[in-house]
Amino acid sequence: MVDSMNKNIETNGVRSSISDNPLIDCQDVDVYYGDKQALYSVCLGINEKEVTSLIGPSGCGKSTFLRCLNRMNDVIDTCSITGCIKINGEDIYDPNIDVVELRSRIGMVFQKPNPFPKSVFDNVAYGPRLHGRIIEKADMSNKVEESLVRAGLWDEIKDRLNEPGTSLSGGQQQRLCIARAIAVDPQIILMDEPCSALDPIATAKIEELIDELKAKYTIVIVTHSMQQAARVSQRTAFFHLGSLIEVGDTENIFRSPENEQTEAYVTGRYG
Amino acid sequence: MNKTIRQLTLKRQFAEKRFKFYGQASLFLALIMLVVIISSMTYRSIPAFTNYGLNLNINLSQNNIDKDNINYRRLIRENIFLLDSGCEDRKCRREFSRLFSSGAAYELKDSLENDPSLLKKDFRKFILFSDDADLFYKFGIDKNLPENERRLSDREISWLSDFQEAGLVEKRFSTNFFTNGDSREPEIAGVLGAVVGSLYTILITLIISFPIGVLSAIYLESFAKKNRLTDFIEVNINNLAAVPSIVFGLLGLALFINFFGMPRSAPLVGGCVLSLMTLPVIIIATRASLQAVPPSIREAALAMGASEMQVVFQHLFPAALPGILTGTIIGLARAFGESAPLLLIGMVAFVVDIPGSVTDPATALPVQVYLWADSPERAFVAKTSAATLVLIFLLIVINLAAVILRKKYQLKW
Amino acid sequence: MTEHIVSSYDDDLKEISDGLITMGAEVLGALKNVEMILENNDHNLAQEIIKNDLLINDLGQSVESKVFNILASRQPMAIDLRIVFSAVKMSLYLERCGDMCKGISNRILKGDLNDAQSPDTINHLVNMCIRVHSNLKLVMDDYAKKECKNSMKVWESDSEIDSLYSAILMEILNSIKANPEAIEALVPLLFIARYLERVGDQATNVAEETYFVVTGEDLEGQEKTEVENETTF
Repeated sequence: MVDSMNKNIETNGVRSSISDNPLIDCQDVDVYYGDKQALYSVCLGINEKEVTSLIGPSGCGKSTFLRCLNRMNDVIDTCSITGCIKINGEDIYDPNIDVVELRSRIGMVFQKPNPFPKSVFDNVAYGPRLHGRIIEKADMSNKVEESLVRAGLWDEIKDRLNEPGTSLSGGQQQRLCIARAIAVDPQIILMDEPCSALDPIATAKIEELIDELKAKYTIVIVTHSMQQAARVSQRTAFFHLGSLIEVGDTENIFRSPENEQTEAYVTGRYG
Repeated sequence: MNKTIRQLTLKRQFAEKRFKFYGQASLFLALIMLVVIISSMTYRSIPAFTNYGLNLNINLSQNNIDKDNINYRRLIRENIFLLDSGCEDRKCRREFSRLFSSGAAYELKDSLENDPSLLKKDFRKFILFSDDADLFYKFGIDKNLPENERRLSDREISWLSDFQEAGLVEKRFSTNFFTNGDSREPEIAGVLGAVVGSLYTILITLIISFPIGVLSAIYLESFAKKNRLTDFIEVNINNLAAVPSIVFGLLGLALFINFFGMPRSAPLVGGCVLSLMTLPVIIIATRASLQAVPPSIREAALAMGASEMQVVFQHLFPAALPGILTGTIIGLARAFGESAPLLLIGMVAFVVDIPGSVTDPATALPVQVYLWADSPERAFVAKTSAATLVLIFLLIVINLAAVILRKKYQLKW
Repeated sequence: MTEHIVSSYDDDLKEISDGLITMGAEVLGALKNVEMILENNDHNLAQEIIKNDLLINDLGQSVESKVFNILASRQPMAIDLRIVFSAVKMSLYLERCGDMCKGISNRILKGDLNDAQSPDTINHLVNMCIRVHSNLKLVMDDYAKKECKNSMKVWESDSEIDSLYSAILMEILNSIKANPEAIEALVPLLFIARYLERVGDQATNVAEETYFVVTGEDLEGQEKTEVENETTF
C-alpha cells in the first residue's frame, strides 16, 4: 500500500492516488432497484478539492453511484442501498442525518440544463432562500452576483437578471445551474454528464469553470467523454456492469490502465 | 424508374392535399353547424327580449287610497277601466282585464315601494300586456281561424287594435327577462333565478371539488406509494369519470337528501352532486398536468435540498397550474350544462323567488330550459331559446376564462 | 487485445505499425549491406544504401502523417496512444539508423578500405555490425509481435556494444600511433565505428519504445547496469 503510494507520487509527481483521509469514503456500497442489483460492493475514496471522474458504458452504475452521494436515490421507492458512505467521516445514510441539510452541502448539476422557470436572479437565490441562509435583500444580491461571477456568467448576463433562466442559451443555462448549486456554498459538487447537451464552446467554458472550481470544491463528474475525463479530472474511476473496475490517477488510467477491461473501454474496444 | 418515382411522389402529394381538404371540410362543416345553431337560436329568441305594454295613467284622486294598505290589484283594475273598453257586463270586463299581465300589480307595488313619493299625485305606469296580447303585437293573428280556435276573441282583437291606433302601445326592451325569476306568466318570467341558482351550484361544486381533486391528485402523483391499493383507486377514478351523470343524481338523492337530510331543491345539494361528477375530471386533469412537468425540474429542486412538499408546491403545482385550471374549468363547464342529476334532487321545481343562499330552493339554467321547453304557452318558445342563449353565453365566458388563465400562468421552459 | 468497435481504427493503427516494421526491415537490410561492404569492399552496395536511405526517409514521413491523422481524428487512449506516440519517436530513431548507414557508405565511397591495411579492425567492425544488426532485429521482431521478450536484453546489451566500440577505438588509435602515415585511411574506420555505435544506441531507444508500448512503463527509469562510456569527437 505504502509502496504503491510512493510509486504514484513518483510517476505522477502531483498527487498521491489515494489520500489517507478521503473526503468521501464509500465502503461496500450495494444498490438495488427492486430485485435488480445496480451496484456491487463499490469501495471508492474521493479526495478533497480534486476532480474525480466516473466513466463507463451506459448502465454501468456510475450515475447511480453519483446519486447515492446526495441520496437522490431516496426518491425512487424501489431503490435500496447497503454499505457505508461517509462524508467528512459521517455516515450519510445514518437515520439521524437530515437529507435536506445533506443536500445543501452537496450541489448537483444535471445532464440537461434545468433552470427553474423563474428569473435568473431567483434561480440563483433559490438555494439560499430555501435554506434560510440569507434574509437581507442586499446580502442576497451580493450572493447572487458572487455565485454568477464564480460560475463565469456574470459579465454575460448581469443586465438580464430579471429574464427567465430558461431564456438563456444551453451553455449559459448549465452555468446558471452551477451558479445555483454553488450559491449555497456546498462542499461537494456532483455533475452528471454536464456537457453532454452542449456544443464544444459551451463545453470548453464549463471545463474551464470546473478547473477553477476545484480550488474550492470537491467535484465528482460523470462523463461519457474520455477526453473530458482526461482533461478535467485528477482521478478517474471506471465502472462496468455495476462494479468499480479500476480507480486511479487519470493520467495512469489513460496512459496505461492496469485492468484489461478498462483498457478495452478507454481505447474504444468494447463491443 | 424515374417515372415511377415521379408517379409515387405525385400520388403522395395528392394524398396529402386530400387529407388537408378533409380536415378543412370537416372544420368548415362544424363551423356551419355552430353558426346555424347559434343563429337559429338567436332568431327564435328575439321576441323574448322585447315586451309590449301600455303606459297607463294611474289616477289616485278618484280612489280613497289607504296608504298603508294599498290594494294594488284593485288600483290597476280601476285604472284599466278608465280606458275605453265599452264593457257593460262582468264577462266583458274580465275579458278586457285579461289583456293585461297579471304581474302588473306586483310591478306597481315594487315601483311604489321604491318611490313612495309617487303616491302624492297621478302618475303614469308602464304595464305589460299578457302573453297573448304581446304575441298579437309581435306576430299578428290569423283571423281566418274560427274564433273559438284562436287565443284571442274578435272583441279582444278590436281592443288591441284600438290601443295601437290610439298610440298607447309601447314596445320596450324586456329587462324582466334578466331580472326576474321564473313565472307562470311568460311576459314576466326571467332567467335570473336560474342563473343565480346555477352560479350557486357551480360555486359549491368548485369549492368542494377543486381542493379535494387537486390535493388528492397531488397526493396520488407525488406522495402515494405505488401499490395495489393506489392502482385500485386510480382505476376507480377513471371509472368514475365515465359514470353517467344521472347515477350521481340518484346517489345524491339517496345520500345527501335522504341520509344526511339536506334541503331538497337546494344548490348546496346540487353542488355536492355535481362535485362528485367533476372530481374525477379534475383529478385526471391535475395528474396529467403534473406528469407533464419535466422531471428535471423536480430533480433540480430536490438536489437543491427542497423537501418533497416544497418541490410540489414551489415547482410542480405552479408549473401544472394552467393545465389544472383548464381541466377544472372544463369539468365545471360540463357540470354547468348538466341537468339530469339536478332533476333527481328536486332542482326541477317551479321556483319564483331568486335564491338568496345556497340552501334556498333554486333551479339551474339547463333545468330552466327544460322547464320552459315543456310549458304549453307559445311565448315560452322564444324564452326557451333565449335561456339557451344565456346558457351558451355563460359557457363561452367560462371557457374564455380558462383560455385567459392558461395564457396568464403558462410558464416558458 | 480485441478489435476496436471502429474497424478502420484498427486499420489505421496497423498501417502505422506496418510502416515502422517496413522501415525496420529496410534499416536491417542496410545494416546487412554495410556488413557485406566491410567484408568485400563493395562500392556498388554502398551506392544502393545511399539510394535506399531516401526510401527510409519517405517511410518515416508517411508514418508521421498517419500519426498526425490518427491523433486528430481518433484521440487515441491507453495502448493506442502509446503506439501512436511511440511511432513518432521510433520512426525518428529508424530514420537516424538509416542516416548512419548512409554516412558509413559515404565514408567508404571516399576512399578504399584496403588502404588502412588493418584487416583485424575491419573484422572487429564486421562483428560489431553483426551485433548491432541482431540487436535491432530482435527489437523489431518484438515490436512486430507487440511483446518485450528481448527488448530488455537488447537494452542491457548495449553496454557490450559500447565496449566493443571502445575496444575498436583503442585499436585504431594504436594503429595511428604506430603508423601515422595511414591516418587518412584509418580515420574513416573511426567514423564507421562511431556510426555503428550510434545505430546500437538507436536500437536501445527502439527497445525502450517497444517496452513502453507493450507495458506502459518506461525502461529509462529502470536501473542501468553499466555506466555510460562515451568518447566524444
